[in-house]
Amino acid sequence: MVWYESFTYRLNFIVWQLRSFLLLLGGYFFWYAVYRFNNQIGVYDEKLMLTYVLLSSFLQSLILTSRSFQIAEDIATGRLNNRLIKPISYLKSMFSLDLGVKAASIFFLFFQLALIFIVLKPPFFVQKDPLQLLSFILVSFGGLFIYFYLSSLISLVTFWYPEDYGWPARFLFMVVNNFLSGGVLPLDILPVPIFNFLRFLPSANFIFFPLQVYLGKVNPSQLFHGFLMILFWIIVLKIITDFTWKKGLKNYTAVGI
Amino acid sequence: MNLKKYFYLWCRTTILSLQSKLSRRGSSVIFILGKFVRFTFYIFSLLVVLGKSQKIAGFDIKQMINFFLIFNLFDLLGQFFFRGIYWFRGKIISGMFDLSLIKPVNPLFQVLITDTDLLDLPLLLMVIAMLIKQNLNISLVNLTLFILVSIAAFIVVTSLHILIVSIGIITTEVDNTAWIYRDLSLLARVPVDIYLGSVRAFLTFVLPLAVIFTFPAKAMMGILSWSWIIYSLIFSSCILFFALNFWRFALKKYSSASS
Repeated sequence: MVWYESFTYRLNFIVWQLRSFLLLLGGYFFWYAVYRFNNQIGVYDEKLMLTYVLLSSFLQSLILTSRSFQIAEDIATGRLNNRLIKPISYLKSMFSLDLGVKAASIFFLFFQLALIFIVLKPPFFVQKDPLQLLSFILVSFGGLFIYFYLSSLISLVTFWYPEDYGWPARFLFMVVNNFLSGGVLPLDILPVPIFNFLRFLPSANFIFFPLQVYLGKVNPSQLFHGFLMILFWIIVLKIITDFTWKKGLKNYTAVGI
Repeated sequence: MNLKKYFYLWCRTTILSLQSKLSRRGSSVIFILGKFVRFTFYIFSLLVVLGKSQKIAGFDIKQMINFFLIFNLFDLLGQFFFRGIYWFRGKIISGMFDLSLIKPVNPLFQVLITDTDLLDLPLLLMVIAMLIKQNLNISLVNLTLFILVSIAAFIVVTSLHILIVSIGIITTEVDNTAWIYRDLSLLARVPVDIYLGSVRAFLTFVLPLAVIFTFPAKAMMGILSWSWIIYSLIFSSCILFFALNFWRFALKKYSSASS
């Protein structure tokens, strides 16, 4: 369905892909330029940092690309009525839609990354340890679930605050999450007290922690601790999301209809 | 063109825009908060990176902050005055643009600046205050050059927005050309000098982000050569001429399809 939708408005879709490519290139060129004048920033040399930048685009497609914002629109416009009368779980159907969007995003990111590797030939750290790679995949999928519940929770605020289709809360969430997830720069470059606080937040599992695992910067004990944290956040956020959904439904008046 | 009439019209539409924002106070406060948070995060990140590195392309921390503040100044000015273009596509595909065309007011004026975004004003004022504080010791010559190059920069910003709305009329399908400009402009949060030759040339001669964001900052710091000052003045005149002609060409292509 997502793919059909994407290709219905082809030019729009191409421009959207171009935007994501430009953002990726922007991040790449910035760090490339910084390392023209410096050998090391924090614990990152050029190879590790550029690997971080390129793989963070993959994690953005896998984890942060989402349709959960549509929940807010459905609530604010009253379209939720149509979904509620169907014999399927609304949140589960949104999760399926989410997976479709992610698949499309990763598919097209593949071409963008291929172009960058062919033309720019960036130095890239290849993780060869299968155990680390498996851990990277598991941790990334953990982040995917955390993001879905957290993002859905932000959308559910619209039950009580439908102004502007829930966009204000979403905007604030995106701004904060972009930084706290490690999307702007690796969190361990930040001052130690701030890093020690941020690494325990759920957003650290969207980009920063999976890439630490890929780059081999996490020992077995830290990895085990990381898995526990991910499990903790998935359970906690699922409970809060389910609770908020039920409470919100009682408050829902289909006001947009 | 009757400037008094247009100034009055801008004031009226700005007041209407303010009333609209005030009717949604909660949202407006969250949007303003979000803009401040984003600004704070980015300047903090820049300080962290610069704190851990040597000079970048010969620029020290104070200079890099100047570049970042100037980037925000012109980025915010563009959004503050020209926010209306983000909703222009809706007017085109619904045929509502007809209503702009029949009014006795220049349609380009209506499209560009009749939706001033006052939510950008608090951050804009803060950026201006920070720039003044950073550059209290600026010489009169540098200040004059900065104003001159800034005028050229704002003309380029305006021209790019005219080109974006013109493309909107011709294609009707693309609603995120403005976002491509915004995304690309993020490259200019730092001086374009730090980029490789081909990227730097692209950002100076093709998509003139250097003219908009880097040159005014350099002029303020007294490190912009005369040749680049002359280039920015000539380039801004040429791009404005081209943009206005492209706008007229695009208007002829408007089919008023949905009306």
